[in-house]
Amino acid sequence: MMACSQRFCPLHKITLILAVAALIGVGRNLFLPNSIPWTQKWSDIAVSRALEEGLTVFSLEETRNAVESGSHFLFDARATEEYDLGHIPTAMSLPIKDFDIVFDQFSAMLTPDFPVLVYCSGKECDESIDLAVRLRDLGHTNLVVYTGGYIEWSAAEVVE
Amino acid sequence: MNRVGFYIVPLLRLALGVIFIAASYHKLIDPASFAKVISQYQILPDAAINMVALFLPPLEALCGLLLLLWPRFRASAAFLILAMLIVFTAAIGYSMYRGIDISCGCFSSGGASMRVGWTKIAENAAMILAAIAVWIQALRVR
Repeated sequence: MMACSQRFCPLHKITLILAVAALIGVGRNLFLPNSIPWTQKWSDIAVSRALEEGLTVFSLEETRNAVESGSHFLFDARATEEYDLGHIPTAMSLPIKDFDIVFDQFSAMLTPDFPVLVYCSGKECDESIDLAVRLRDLGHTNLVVYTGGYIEWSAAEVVE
Repeated sequence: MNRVGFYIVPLLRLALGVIFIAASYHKLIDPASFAKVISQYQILPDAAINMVALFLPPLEALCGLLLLLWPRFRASAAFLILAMLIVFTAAIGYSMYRGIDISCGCFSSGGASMRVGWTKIAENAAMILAAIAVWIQALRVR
């Protein structure tokens, strides 16, 4: 062998380990719960899932207007630690994983038709979509998703 | 063989094996979250992300197990662990260089997972040294 001599990295054993790992990975995905598609569109997952779910998507500009006019109730779907590090002004923290515990405190303030805007970190997250779907299941009808998320928002703040 | 080889390296091997098995657990039961973490690194193309999310956890678990239990495969497992650690560390370093603030996804894939940063790099550097020691010893004794 050239770069990798048989003594230092025995190729047949390494190949065997890699092949067994690949088999376990494939088998795991075929036969065990929580399987995932073999390939998936990850970039812009927020937009594609929003469209799939029939949710309205807001741009940065529309979100700015919503924040300035106070037309929407804003929910940040990211983890609390991320919200604490920075969030869109007036947004409330509603991490999707703590939805059942946290949402109670907001439900009294929100009528089902009050406009609600949700966001998460950016184009590669879909917690905002999950949150919108949960809210829709509870009867909220006026939901929009800001798919640019906090990454786009904070980048735009820095530029100005 | 000196005392270091006799006492310290087997302990390092034990630690590395356990760490890799532990690190694989959450990723094995929840590949979707792990795939999301990989996508946030923004390194791999979309088509490769889910495949890697399915392939890496069993590879980590298998190498950890072989390192602990099967002497004939010890050198190969140590070599693969070393290779994985180098790739992971490079990915973390590249994310820091680009200023992407993401969770590392090393042990768990949730929001509470450790962020990428110098602490993680230092941890990985220590594990790389341990993997080298384990690999060299495995080559000698097989």
